[in-house]
Amino acid sequence: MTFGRDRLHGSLDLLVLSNLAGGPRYGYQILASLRERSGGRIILKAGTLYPILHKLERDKCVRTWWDDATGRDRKWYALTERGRKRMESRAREWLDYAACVRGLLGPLAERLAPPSPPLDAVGK
Amino acid sequence: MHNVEFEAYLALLSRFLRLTAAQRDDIRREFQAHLDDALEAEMAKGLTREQAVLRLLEDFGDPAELAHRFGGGNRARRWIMQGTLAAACVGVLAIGVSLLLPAGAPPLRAQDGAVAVARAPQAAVPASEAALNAALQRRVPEISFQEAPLDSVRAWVAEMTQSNVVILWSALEECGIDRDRPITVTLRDVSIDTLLQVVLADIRPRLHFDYIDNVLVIGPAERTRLVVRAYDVRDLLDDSGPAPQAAAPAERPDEQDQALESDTPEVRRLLGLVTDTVYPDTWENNGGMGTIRAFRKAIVVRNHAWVHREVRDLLEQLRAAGAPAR
Repeated sequence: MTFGRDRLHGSLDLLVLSNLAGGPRYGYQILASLRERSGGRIILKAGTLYPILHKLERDKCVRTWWDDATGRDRKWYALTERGRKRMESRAREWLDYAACVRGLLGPLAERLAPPSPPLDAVGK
Repeated sequence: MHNVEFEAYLALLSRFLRLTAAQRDDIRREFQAHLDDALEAEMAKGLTREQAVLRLLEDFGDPAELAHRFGGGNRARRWIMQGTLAAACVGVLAIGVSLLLPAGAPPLRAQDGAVAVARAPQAAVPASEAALNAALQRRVPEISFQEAPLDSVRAWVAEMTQSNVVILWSALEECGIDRDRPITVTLRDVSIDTLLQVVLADIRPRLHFDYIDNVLVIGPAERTRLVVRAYDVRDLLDDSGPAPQAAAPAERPDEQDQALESDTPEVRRLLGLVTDTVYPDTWENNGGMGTIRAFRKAIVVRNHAWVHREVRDLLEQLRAAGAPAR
């Protein structure tokens, strides 16, 4: 089952930033990578991704350059130091929130929740 | 990739993005690369090129919405163009193309043989009004407003007609019209003019629009100006004697004396036809402020711009019917 827009809404920039933590990427590659690494459960549309990337660029969280070495003229994105800091603070916030919700769900969470993924998966 | 659909989409997106030319080019170039990548992947899955392009355009979504997410659009603009996939694509195309037309492009209605051929010398209309009128006659394949405020309709009309559109908000407030009143309407294959009429007709009290120079002004009836126009109607009268060239905006003539000159039963019938059928309440014989007089073979009308539009329509229809007013 894919996650709906509402579920993703607050964590989109975290997902994009963490995807760039593995190295520079271009837009199409980010979408493909998120889809693949989430097992097809996180499918962003182009119309959602690009405005986020451009906002991150304006905020100086990513730096960009054009390069056609891959055979096609593409705009590449890479994490800046500021972007890395934002990613970490967002990740912390998100994990904190998830743990809090989990705590509030109590026994229900114990019964239904899948085991948490290892924390070092972030950014790979 | 050189797809007309995509080119039209980008043209439309660029229109909505209020960014610098360099920023727009950057986005354009990036989208081009993305579509080339995505198109390859989609076609590898067995989709035809056409199917793939449609799917990808859907992926980018409504251009106005996308421009808004880029931060380039007006936050109040919440209208969307939607429909089936194919219709959406055709819509984007048609609108993309229409945006390339010069401001004075002829309205589609003029291509309707019967009406166009029958068109005779008419009331001369100021150039700015004629241009606005022509722009309003442009057709859109589909337009949908979902709970949008009137101001977003205004913004859309301004954008599509490339003109100034103003709403008399204080007058609306005096009439008790809420400026955030949600408007929901979906129309297919209509002119911008019709869309505007439909939206305004649904508001009480009824709102109208008026032209002042190059500005389209929306407000309640009593706040729109009375303007004078002379209509050449010699072709609608049996006796086709010499008639003066229509001239407008015209000075208000001294009706008492000059009207007598053509005060024939036939002229009276034509005047009666107009005042009985076009917004009857607006004429002086019904307690309104509008006047209509005959001067030789022309009729001189003083009334609101929105009444003039209907008068013009009626005269055109009479011409199309090819008969003097009986």
